[in-house]
Amino acid sequence: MTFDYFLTTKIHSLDYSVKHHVERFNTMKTERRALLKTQKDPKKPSEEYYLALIKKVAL
Amino acid sequence: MLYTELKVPEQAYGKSLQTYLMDPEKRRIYEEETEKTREKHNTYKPIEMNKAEVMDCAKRLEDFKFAAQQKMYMIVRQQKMPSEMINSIIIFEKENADDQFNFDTGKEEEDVEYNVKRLKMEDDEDYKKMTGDMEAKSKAFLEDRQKESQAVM
Repeated sequence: MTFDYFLTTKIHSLDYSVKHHVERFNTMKTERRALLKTQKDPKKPSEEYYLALIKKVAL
Repeated sequence: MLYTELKVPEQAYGKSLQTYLMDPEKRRIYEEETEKTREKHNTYKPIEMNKAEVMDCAKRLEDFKFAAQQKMYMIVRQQKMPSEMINSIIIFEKENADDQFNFDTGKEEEDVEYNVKRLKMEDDEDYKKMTGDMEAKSKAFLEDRQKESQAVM
């Protein structure tokens, strides 16, 4: 793949993704941050928090 | 997956991704373009901050960046992580840092960026000193690691 083709398709894909998932991303972020507030030590969050983070990265 | 849509073999797509994002100039172009795309859909209204708040938040963000740089350096150096995983790790660390920053300050990175521009902090001596010090710290870290590597060879 040339860089131009790669870039165009990646941006097109991101544009679609952001447009269709922005609400979902924001919900996930709100839930994750609410979870962080319930942690005993927010600097060392639970596995549940990290799983929520991985879900976001996987999208 | 994107490669399925493009009718490109997964291997070819993976190789392009790895090659282009490891090239600093191409990565810069890619990041600029992705940023433009994100901005197009961004409806977030930044919170106004004063200079002291901006300084505090900007320092915290710089500390996160430095910690991430150290972590990424160690990951790459250990060579235990497949290179195609590195971008996912970068996203993971960034999201985690954003969450921690928001927990500590109640702010978003966008608030800081908006107020740095609004208060013309790039021309502020205190701000310039803080960012300059952090840049020097980061450079010193990389130089030290380079010296360590050369000493081992």
